[in-house]
Amino acid sequence: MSASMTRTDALVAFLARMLITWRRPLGILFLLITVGLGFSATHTRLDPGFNKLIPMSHPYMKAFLEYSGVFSGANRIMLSVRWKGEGDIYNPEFMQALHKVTDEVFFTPGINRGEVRSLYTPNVRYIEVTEDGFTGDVVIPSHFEADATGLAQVRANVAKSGQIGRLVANDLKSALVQADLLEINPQTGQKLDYASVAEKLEAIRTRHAGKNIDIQIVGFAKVMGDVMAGLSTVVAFFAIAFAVTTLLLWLYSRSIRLTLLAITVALLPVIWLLGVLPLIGYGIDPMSVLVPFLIFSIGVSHAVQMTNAWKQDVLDGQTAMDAAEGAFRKLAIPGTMALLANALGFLVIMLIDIPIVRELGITACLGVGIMIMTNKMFMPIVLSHLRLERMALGAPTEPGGRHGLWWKLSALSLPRPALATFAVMLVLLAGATWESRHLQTGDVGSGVPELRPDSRYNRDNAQIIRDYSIGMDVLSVYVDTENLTEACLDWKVMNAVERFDFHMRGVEGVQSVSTVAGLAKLYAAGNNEANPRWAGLQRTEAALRTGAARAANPEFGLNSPGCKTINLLVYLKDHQGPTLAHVVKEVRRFIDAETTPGVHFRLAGGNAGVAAATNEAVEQAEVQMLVSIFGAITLLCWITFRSWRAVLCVIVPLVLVTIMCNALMALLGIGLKVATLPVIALGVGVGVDYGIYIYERLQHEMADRGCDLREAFYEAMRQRGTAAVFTAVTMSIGVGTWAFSALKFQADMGILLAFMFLVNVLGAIFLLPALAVWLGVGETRQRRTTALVAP
Amino acid sequence: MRTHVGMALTAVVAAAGIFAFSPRSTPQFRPTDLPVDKMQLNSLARTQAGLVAAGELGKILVSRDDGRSWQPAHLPQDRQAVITRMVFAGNGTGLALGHEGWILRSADGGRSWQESAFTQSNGEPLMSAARLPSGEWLAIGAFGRVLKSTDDGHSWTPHEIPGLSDWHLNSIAGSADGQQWLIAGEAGTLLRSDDGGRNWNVVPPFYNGSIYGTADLGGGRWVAYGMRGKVFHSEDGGRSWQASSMPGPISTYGHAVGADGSLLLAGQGGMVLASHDGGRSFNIVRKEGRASLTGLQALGDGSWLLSSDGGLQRYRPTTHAAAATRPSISGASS
Repeated sequence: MSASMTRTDALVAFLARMLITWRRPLGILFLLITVGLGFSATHTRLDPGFNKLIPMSHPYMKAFLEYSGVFSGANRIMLSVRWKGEGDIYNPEFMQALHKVTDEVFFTPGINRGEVRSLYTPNVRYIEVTEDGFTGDVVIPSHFEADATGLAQVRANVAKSGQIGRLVANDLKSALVQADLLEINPQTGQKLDYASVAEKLEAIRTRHAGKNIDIQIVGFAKVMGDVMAGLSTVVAFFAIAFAVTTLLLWLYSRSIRLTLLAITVALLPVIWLLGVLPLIGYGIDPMSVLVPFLIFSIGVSHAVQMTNAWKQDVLDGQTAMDAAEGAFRKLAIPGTMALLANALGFLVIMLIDIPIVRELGITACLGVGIMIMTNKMFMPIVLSHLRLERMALGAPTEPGGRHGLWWKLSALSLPRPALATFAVMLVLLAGATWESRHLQTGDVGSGVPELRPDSRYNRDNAQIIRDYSIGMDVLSVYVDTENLTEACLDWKVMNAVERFDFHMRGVEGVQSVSTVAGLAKLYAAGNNEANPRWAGLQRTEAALRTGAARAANPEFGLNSPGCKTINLLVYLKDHQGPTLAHVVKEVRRFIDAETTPGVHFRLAGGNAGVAAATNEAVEQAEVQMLVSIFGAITLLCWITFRSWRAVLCVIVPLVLVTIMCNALMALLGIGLKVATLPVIALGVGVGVDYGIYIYERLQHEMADRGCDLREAFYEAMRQRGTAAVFTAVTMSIGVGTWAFSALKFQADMGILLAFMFLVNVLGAIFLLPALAVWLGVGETRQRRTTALVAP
Repeated sequence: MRTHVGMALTAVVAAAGIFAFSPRSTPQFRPTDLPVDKMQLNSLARTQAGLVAAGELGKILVSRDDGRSWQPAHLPQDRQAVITRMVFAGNGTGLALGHEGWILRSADGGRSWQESAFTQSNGEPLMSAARLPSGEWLAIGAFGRVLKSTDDGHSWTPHEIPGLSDWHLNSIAGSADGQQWLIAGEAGTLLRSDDGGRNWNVVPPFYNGSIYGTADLGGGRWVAYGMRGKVFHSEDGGRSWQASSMPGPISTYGHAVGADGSLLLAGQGGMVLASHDGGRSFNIVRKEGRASLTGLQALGDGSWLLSSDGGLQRYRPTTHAAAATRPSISGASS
């Protein structure tokens, strides 16, 4: 190799020597660690959770967490029992099924039994206004018999209960059982087991659905259950990715030994990582389940680079041991830099202030850290013991003359062909930039974003929205009151609530508003024979009390006892990003203009509140994340290459691909959200590898051999290009398998990551040489050679 | 020189990157407006200013284009009390009555209003008012309250009508010739006057529930409508009353009379009922939604505009019902 050595090179050479000298004890140590962590990995558990999806330090979520214990309903499940037969629900078969489903939901562990609501529960009553005043009772009397009289009685009671559209479908063909889940079981103190709740609900469906009865189930617990079920398919994807990668590796190396070695070494960090997670108290959630794929893919990519370097030396006639030492020496710097860039990518996604993303970042960083050890240390140890098969020796990696394809491609480092590259690039840039402006923050489309639009859950959800008048997308705004024992009997407070109610009804995107003031007006009218002209909040406390005292029942979930806190429910038409942003902006406008003393409005809760906060966190994190990742990678490149030209050659293609990724999202209707924001960082972090590997070789070739740019680029491509393309393809396949996941967000992530991995290698191959020549990399070589390689 | 090209290109990519990731514009939303289709409206009238609707939080809205767009009327004070009814008299004076003893007066068909009464504390709802042939106004409301104005609604003084108890009073209405008058209210309360509202006689209660309104059909024929499907008709100027036949226990809160004498009642469950036999029997002509309808106005295109506790609704009646009401409708929420 080169006669002149920098201090870094000397250190690397020393480490390489130590590694090979101590290869036996080190090898045994690695094996022992693998066995130990492999055992620990069997304890890895699934760890989803409602709170992990919440941007904890967002001001909205502070209010939400403060009040989520007071107001139930954030974690609600609903079962709609639907009658498929003739006529409506008032028949013996349906009523019996509804009764049984109600009972079974009631006895499901984790259910807050006092909050279960259905026609069969005692908290559902009807009220009738007559000439003599109010009468009222439970909707289904305790002595109910499903005969003609009994059914007629129930039909009349339901009509008077105001539950049509709420607990009974508008078309009278189905009825709801509604229940809230307790995050912590009050008896055992244990955390709610979503999987088991979802399983029990599914069992209820299996038992009662039949020829005449169908059951739709919605709620966060069911989503979690379906997501976990979807996770099991991930194992199958891993198997497919594994098989395809193995096959490609064999085709590439023509050596079973090298294939097995690369696969094994790539699997090691996965096993270690899964072993470490239980030790630090982490689990696998629907998002971090993707980390093993990534680690495996990145592991394969680095293993290929190393086996490739080793093989070339072996083919040059060196011994396996010397070749292993050489491979370590050659790849220690670019490999570690590339892995550090990966780690940086994972690190910056922790800027997104959402626990599930933070855990993804930590888990992935950990994985990359482990990989630096396993790949860069364990791999040379094994290689030093390895002997190549005959078939691999005859592999066409070293034909007599030039590698035809790479030589032709290297023409791109000549000024004129480079201009053609630029022309293509500018067209892509213009198109992508224009399209990327259409990217939306938040969810696109209706239904639950975690699952596909045509999933059973989303079809159930759509059916329930069609059948009932209740919205699924709720924004909670909280009102804190001061120094009042009964704030709901204070006209000023109630008037502020009423004005909020009124203002929000005029906002586009709002379906309806439910507040204690609205309810109080309804009761005030009810108290006056349901005359709508009495539906007002009177200033006199005695008059206000007629409606407000009954409306302010904490059981309705619209206020806490004494109305210390009032919960304003704004039902939205959908939970798409722009809708949420607009509604939240209007809420803010109201709050800013509100001056009633002792009354504080606070955003926000409900699933729409969580989504709005998440979108804000994501939007805020986007620029931060981009600046950090590009800043960090720029710095890293500069440290590696000590040349601003190199930095630009590596960064510019990355920027182009990042813009194109945003354009692709807009084109495919994928929103910028918790699941897709990390993709950019991951894609940039991994995509920079190719540029680093290729430019590092290019720089070395020019410095060591003094050849011109085209020759140097050709050499870089010959030595590293094939491996780079190969790894890009295998990694894209590895993550691309997710595109078939039952989970929408995994599919989105898979498609985007595959795009980033694949297109980044194209950027490095086509754009990097063109930039190099037009940034004058070749010209300055003569002048800078001495400086560059001076010790 | 060559380096400059590369630098320029880099700059272009950087600029594109900054532009691509700069804050993106969100789709435009309709600016927030008065929720005319989601707010409580208790009264709907047609005046020289156009259509006027009023209700929740003291909002009064005016439309000059047959209900397609609505602008807030000019009010001097934002009292945020519910407006229960508007009355526009033949002389051009209009009154809006509300909770907290609130009375507003308009001289321009409802475009702008001046406050002529508001009770600062312990106010009670006012429900209706009428201009008597003498030019005096009577306003009535909760707990048997009656107010009188002798200056065309500018100022008000309490007024006693002998025979009234403290039952709520809901409506005051007169015949076309201004001679016969009825005041109706809670617990079957009904008073009648044959002399333009100077002297009042209590009609012996024939019903123990609330009567929300009365409609004059001409020639001494009257209909009184109230809660739970209770409708009565009289053919002797309101002296004696017979129960009308109704299809169900539907409370009705407003009425409209066609020039052909047909009577429309608007009420609970989004229902409109029609009678073509002088109020003896009613049939359902519209049943839609769950809102309680409070008023009805015919529009130029033959459809109806309905006010309700859930906002304004438009409805195109079937040809049969439309034919009966086409000539013109008056006094929808008198």
